[in-house]
Amino acid sequence: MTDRDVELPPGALELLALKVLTRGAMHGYAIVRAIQERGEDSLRIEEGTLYPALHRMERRGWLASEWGASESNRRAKFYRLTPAGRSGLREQESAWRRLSDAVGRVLGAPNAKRA
Amino acid sequence: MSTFLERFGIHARSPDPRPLSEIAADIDEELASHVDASAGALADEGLDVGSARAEALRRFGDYGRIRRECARTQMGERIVLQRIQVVLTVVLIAVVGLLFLSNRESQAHERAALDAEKQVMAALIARLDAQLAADADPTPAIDRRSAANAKTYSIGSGGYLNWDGQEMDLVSASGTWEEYFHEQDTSWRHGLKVVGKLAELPGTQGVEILTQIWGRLSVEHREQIMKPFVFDGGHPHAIEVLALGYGDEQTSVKERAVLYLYTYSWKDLWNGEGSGSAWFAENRERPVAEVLRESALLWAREMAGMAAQHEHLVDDYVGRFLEATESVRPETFAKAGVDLGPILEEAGVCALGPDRFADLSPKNQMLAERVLTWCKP
Repeated sequence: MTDRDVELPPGALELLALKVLTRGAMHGYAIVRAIQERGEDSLRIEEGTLYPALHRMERRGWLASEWGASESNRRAKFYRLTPAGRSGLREQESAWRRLSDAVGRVLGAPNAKRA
Repeated sequence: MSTFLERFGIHARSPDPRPLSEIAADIDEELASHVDASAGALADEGLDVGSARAEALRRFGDYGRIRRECARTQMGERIVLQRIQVVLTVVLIAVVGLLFLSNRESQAHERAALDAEKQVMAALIARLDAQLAADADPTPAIDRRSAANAKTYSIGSGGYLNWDGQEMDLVSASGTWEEYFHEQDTSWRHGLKVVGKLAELPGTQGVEILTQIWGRLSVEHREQIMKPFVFDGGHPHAIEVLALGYGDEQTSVKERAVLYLYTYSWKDLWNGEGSGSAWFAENRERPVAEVLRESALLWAREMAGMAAQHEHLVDDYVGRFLEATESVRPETFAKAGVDLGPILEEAGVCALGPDRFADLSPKNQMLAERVLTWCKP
């Protein structure tokens, strides 16, 4: 972690996990790795906090899970998006963009819409 | 983004039905799997096993807190539901307990009421049995009552008749009549029935017995007692019975006495204790027919005198005078052998035509016309 690391605001981790899972079923560690790779390691995640978020979304019906074998042949729990989760992702994504645009307009950032 | 209900551990899906221990083991395995994978990746990058595991745990964060959060998410709902279940069970037990106690108390009341009713029924059945046995007995009822009374009262002396015709002294006879009245203290019909028979006793017996027991009789009966005496105008002791009612401390009884007294006095004896006492002092011992005749004559003379003195009758004054006749019962005069027509004629009232009362209010005119109808034979 460096001074350039960004701490995720509340709810953002759920959004990122949902987005990553659009690529297919993944276990928790793979989700974390995917987020960090896409964020070019600048998103500071306390890795364990992903799991309460995954469990909440599962209880909400946005994710489904099942145990399976990981790429290193370890037993791992795999999560996949449900139709309700895809719908939830669209809503969350839209809300995030509106928030981002609004914050960008206030800050006067020329590239706020791409945030 | 949690919803409002999720704050309380309530989620869209039904709770995980597995045992809590199994769910907890799943969480442990999942979190451990992450740390193992992370440590393995770090080891692959060149860290020794111990350092890799330490770094993996550091990156994972507060393991204990995260484990608790996962458990709360997975099991919190069940815990909340279990707590609600426990609270509801306690409430239910309390309600059932209260209902049980309430029911037991209610049953105790019902048992007591039932016992009381049983006792009443037993008494009624016993009475009915006695009545049936008595009905089967060929001895006349009147004799049986006398036989029963003989246990308490001295029979055969004094000449006073008890309520079934047996002779005894005044006190004993009065006791039997009083007992008869008390059989149904609150029934005015019963009181009227008893006194109807009492009024038929010869001489002064009825009045003497009533004088003995008057104060101990119920109000319902005292209100009825005067009727057979005063409605039968020929009863020689009507005025003495009216005196008992007039002296009664119960207003409802005295009111009835005053109402009946209009026929005998042709006056309002309610207002002014003195007037009533004086009237009774003067008339109590006199024959009823004589009192009836004299009262009517005095009234008629005064009425005729007013008509003679005043060309126009004053409604207020004459009205009060006429109102005294409102409760006069002419049939009482007939039963007492007193012809009311000649009395009114003699005083000059019958000579006053209806036109003479034309100055009066409609009500007073009606009262005057009623009096004039008594002039006709």
